[in-house]
Amino acid sequence: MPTARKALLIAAAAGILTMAGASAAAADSSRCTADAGCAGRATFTSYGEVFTVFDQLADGHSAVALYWLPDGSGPHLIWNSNGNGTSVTANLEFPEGAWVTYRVCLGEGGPKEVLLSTCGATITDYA
Amino acid sequence: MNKLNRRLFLVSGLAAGGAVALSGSSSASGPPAVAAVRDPFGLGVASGDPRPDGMVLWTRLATAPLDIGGGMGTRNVPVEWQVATDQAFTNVVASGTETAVPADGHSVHAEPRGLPAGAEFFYRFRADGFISPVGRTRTAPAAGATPSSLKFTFASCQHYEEGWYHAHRFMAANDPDLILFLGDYMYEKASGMAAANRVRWYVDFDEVDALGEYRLRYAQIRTDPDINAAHAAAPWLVVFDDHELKNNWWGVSSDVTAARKQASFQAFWENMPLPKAAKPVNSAIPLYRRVSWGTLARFHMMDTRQYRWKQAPAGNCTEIARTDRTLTGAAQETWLLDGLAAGGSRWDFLGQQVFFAQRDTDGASGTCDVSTDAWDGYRASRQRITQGWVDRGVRNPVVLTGDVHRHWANNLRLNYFNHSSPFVGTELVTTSVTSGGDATENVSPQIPNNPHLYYVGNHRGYVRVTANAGQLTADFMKVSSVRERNPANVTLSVRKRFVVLDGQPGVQEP
Repeated sequence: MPTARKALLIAAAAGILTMAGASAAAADSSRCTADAGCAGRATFTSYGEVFTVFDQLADGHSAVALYWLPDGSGPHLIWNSNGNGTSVTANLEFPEGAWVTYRVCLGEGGPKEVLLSTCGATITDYA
Repeated sequence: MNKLNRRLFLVSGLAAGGAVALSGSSSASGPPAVAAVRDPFGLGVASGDPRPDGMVLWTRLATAPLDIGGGMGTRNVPVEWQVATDQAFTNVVASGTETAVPADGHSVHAEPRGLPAGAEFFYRFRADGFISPVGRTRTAPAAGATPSSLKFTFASCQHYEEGWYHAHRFMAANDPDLILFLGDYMYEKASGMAAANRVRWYVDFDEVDALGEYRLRYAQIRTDPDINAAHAAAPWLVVFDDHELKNNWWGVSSDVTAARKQASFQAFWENMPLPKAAKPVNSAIPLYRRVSWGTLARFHMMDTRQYRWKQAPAGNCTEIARTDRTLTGAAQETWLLDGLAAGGSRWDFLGQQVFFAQRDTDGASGTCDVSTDAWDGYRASRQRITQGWVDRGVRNPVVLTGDVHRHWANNLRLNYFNHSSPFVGTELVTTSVTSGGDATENVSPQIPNNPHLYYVGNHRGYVRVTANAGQLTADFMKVSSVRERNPANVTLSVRKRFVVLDGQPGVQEP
């Protein structure tokens, strides 16, 4: 299968973002970037619809979670451009029981450029 | 036909139009462990191919639409369906049960029969304790009946990433008897647009070429509420073009593998309101077919991909002029001409994909300055069909076309290089729903050299047609923006209106 574009410029994050240094507790699902070392990780907690995006490698890249919603929109983006060892949390509002499909990638936080070849597999979870 | 428990169905369906959970708490992640924990009807409902005594009713179950497999696992799921004469389902006139199976992507193609002709109905499904949204459909008029009018819309080319589907919401609001979709419902590749110009992305970034991937593309499209509204508003007649498989694919011996064809056709069938009889066999799908609307109209829905010869090299007049070239294949050509010869219809619509009228950029007969993917690349095939309807005395032949992302109104001739030759038919070309994104109007340089091409418009939208015994009115509809998401900020207008008078081929301005 042909490889898609190497990178895309994108804009606009969604939700309420907070920065934290600790791991989120009681996440219901998790995904890594495509690399073997999980340079970026995203978790989703159904209770409260909380995404947390972890940067786990000092590689000069940001971590970014991409998620799609049942209203035909997406990806919505949650950037963590705070460096290795940090996390960013987005506390969102989804209808109870609604699905959300997400994956996590590396990117360039300044121009908001997602590096598509770094994106890990998708997963669907529920609010 | 199995009768379902109608009382339970009615009780649980009091909130018609929405899904109603009957039981179950949800687990946090992973596939459902037991039935009835998640709503499987997020992909909506649809109907299609109306006959005087029935139609196809469609849904596809998915609790996780953007996962390969849709979250349905390996279960076979019984799906009950009902048809009623009222939206509250107090007068159910048909019902039954289908089994949604993994091998068919958990799609359902129910085919009620014995319904009265020319009537409106409402339908819904139930599975895993959930009730689907309600769809509205209709049966075709009886053979020999003479309906006073027919209203339909037709559309094509809807790259998911290149715009919002406002056109579908507007088509639903038009309350048509029928909606035709003439191809490029789905695109196998991500948009070539800059990311900043895309309104959304496919969840799978790569070109799709396997069954699970094709299914996922359709599922993502069917998460859009506007297209689901259009599918639920009226029965559809659908045919594909090239992007449902691969750009510019052709014929039975192209470089596309049989496995990829079978995967594409299977996913198309699974996701469209097509009858069970249209289910692909190996790497072929029986797609061309005819739908009659009493004595007022017939729709000859054509397949211009599966049986065509390979596109001629650009500008190769020797190849283009070969008299044995075919776009339709011999069997479909015979089927079409035999159908046209049967007569008995005021309007004969040829629903198909690629540009029919000649569009020779320099207008010179010796340069073959044409798109070789369109009928221009298959001149003899076009000539046989055009001469065929002339010889058979077809009263009002009208070709309906998609593919080119522009509105066009064309007058058809037997000899396009003779600018005084008579018009022998009409072609209405719909622009794209989204493909290409927002655009500014421009003028085609091809019109001055092709005077039979009467109008071109570059905007997004669809065509709305009203036909009666005396005339056809075609409204070329323009959506103000596909980049703007908020419906409150998007308007619909009639960009251009044409009429075709009974017995007078060609478009006229009213």
